[in-house]
Amino acid sequence: MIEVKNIHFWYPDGTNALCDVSLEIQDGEFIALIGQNGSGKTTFAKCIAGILKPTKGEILIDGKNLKNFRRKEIAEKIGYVFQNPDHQLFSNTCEKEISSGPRNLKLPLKEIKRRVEIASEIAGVDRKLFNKHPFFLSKGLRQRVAIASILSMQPKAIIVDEPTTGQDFKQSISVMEFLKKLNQQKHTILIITHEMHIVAKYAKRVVLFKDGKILQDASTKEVFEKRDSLAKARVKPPQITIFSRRVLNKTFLTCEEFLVKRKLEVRSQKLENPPLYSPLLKKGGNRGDYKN
Amino acid sequence: MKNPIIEFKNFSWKYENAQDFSLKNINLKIFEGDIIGVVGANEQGKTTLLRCLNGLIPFNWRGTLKGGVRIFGKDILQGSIEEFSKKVGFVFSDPDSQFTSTSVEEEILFGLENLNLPIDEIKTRLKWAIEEFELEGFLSKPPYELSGGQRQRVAIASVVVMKPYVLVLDEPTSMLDPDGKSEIFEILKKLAGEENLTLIIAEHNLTELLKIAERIIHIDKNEIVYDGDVQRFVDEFDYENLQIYMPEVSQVFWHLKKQKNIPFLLEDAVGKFQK
Repeated sequence: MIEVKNIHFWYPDGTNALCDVSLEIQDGEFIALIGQNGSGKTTFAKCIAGILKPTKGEILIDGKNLKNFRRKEIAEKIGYVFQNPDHQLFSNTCEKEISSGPRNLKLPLKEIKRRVEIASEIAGVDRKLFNKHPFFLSKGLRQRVAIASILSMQPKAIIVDEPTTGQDFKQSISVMEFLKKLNQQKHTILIITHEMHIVAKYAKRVVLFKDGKILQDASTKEVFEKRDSLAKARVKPPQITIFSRRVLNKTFLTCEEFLVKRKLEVRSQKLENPPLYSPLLKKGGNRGDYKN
Repeated sequence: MKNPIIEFKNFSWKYENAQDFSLKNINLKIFEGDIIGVVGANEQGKTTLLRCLNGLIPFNWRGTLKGGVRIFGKDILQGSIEEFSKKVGFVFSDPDSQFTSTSVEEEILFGLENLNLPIDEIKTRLKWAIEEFELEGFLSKPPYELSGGQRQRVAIASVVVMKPYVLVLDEPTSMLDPDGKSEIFEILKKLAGEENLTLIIAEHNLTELLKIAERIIHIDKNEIVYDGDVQRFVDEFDYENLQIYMPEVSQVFWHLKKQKNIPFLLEDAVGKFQK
């Protein structure tokens, strides 16, 4: 569990990036941090990962103050994937890059090898690339190598800053699907993103930032329902959410939800006022089947 | 029939040391005033196509070229990158990668000074850019102190003041937050309308792109698989195998078995749904 208590952060140039922010994150959550550029999302995430030290306030991880952790211990608790993979890649082959974390943790060789294999498989980094220099790979692949190099440390919580920037739709989905898989294996996942359809599809909880403060913290649906606070933070919900509100007066988050729930609604409306010869009822229609 | 300003004929390109061709057998005509969206998954050849439009390929990249490209009537191999760049401006996805100066004003002036224009003309164009792109407040600021949307606006302004006929943008909004994205597309729409600028935009965000594009080029597996108007592209798109994230209203309408005239703009979809 991560507890953030009243943290403030001032950058050396005087910018106040975080102002009295508190948040509690339970194990196994899938959270999206959203808000405009400069709203404090990344600074907040970097504080949790121990990359930046809050100017004021404290952060507890599993009850222990982050200040009292050694670097190595933090790495086992929280992994941070930078927005720009080039900010974290430093080795001259992909294999060295992915194994650098476990090597620093001084794990036995056999374990290092095992972890590199697992991590690169989940992240979709082909063995053929192991001897290549990361800088000659495409941006999408470099991002996967960056993620694999964090996964190989098997941290309990993983923070990914903009996992889908510059990726096309299929690549975005494959990155998100594997974060979902990790989440199902009880890893806590925190993503920072501007892609609202990704938030709608994957995150269960959304934290909305505005000017260094938390403006909203609720389930994804609740946050996307509150039009005024979204407008205040200048965030637009997914197109389908705006659409479903306009045409059905309902908040649906994804196309799938729209299609499924709309069908159910049409059916239940029909059942409440059944036409004389309803084909649904003729089939021996059991009213109970169409509720919800 | 108008003459195309850029024309590809049986064009293929392979980067040096690459195994396969990045573009194969491209035939393409671009006309004055076109607003073209270039779409497709990554690594399929979108950026390579854009690089051919102002001579970055073959002059900045080595490789094998087959067929030909004519830019404003001139064969690409007969000209130079300087010559083509005057007619075809290029904006990258990461605005920071094209900044050279420490203030917005200098950034805008950089291109103009390099064109060796008379001082009066430079002054007139600077004034125009400040008004057109609403740069008044931050002329003396360094570009890196601006927000993402403002930075990309400066990057576009610094190219547009050189008065190119064609503006090529490679994923101009991928680094921006949603607010910045809308800001850039509004600017582009205005430019296309007022300046009669030909726009060629590669972009993943189709919800925004389709608000302004009038023609779509879909590149897949290094070839052009679709080139035509937006409505037919939306109608014929393979929604089962969603390679590109189409506007969500289009996805929903396709699943509701609307075969023709699938809407792709929100307002349009709301209207059609209520019918």
